[in-house]
Amino acid sequence: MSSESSPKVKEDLLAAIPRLRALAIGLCGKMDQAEDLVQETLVRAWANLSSFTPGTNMGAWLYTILRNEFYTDLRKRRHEQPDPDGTLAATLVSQPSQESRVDFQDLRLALAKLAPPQREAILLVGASGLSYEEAAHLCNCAVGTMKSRVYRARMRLTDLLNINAGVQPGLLLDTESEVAEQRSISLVSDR
Amino acid sequence: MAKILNSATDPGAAKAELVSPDLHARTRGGSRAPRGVPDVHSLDSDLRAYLGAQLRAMYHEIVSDPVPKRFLQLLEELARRGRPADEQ
Repeated sequence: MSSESSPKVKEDLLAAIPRLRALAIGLCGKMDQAEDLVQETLVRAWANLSSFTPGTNMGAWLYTILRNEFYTDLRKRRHEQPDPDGTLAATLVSQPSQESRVDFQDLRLALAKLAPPQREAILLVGASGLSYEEAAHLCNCAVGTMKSRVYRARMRLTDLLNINAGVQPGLLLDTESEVAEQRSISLVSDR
Repeated sequence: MAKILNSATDPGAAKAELVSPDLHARTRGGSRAPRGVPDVHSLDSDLRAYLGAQLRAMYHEIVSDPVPKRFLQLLEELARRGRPADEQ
């Protein structure tokens, strides 16, 4: 099997960067960390081109490299600086990119508060439009697991954005507060 | 007598009589919440539709950014060095 020429590979990698970068930024929250992650991913990808089958989905292959790197970094960082409540993580608010025309500050803040597997799930499915099956395949998990992560991410985000919109919990009445309580119970364990 | 007949044909009216006007207005029995009190379910579905749109818009905005120079330079450099010597 002949391997692809360098120029062709370079072209394919280039084409994959915008989506890869968008997912990295969503995952990391911080622009510089995200771009370092993309850089690392490209370097690794190039070094491991022999494990890529030409003609298959390069974006998907690159993303699996990126996410491995992301979680490895995360474990290293948590080991050095435990942050069980995610309060530190939540303060690492992303800076809007220089080229941003619209500021999605509230959304970025809320995303940063999600547990990484949920954040990743909502980015893959909700933001980039993958199916549950495609996302589950990328994340090497069961489809049911992906669905439940997306569901919980959505619930958490809607709650966080709700709070930002100034809804007073005290206004919730009997049946409504019961529903809210049930929802908050499922939000407690972030997995 | 007229009241009983009316209740038979209009279940809503019968319910309203059993329940205090305030509580009826606030419960989820199909009626709208009074002004100023958010209906948590319509707020949810509106917010969730909004959330989906925001996520996609945020994602697409970044996707449409030009590729940062550092990556162009990186790829130039990698291509210049050539493929790793692994296909023996």
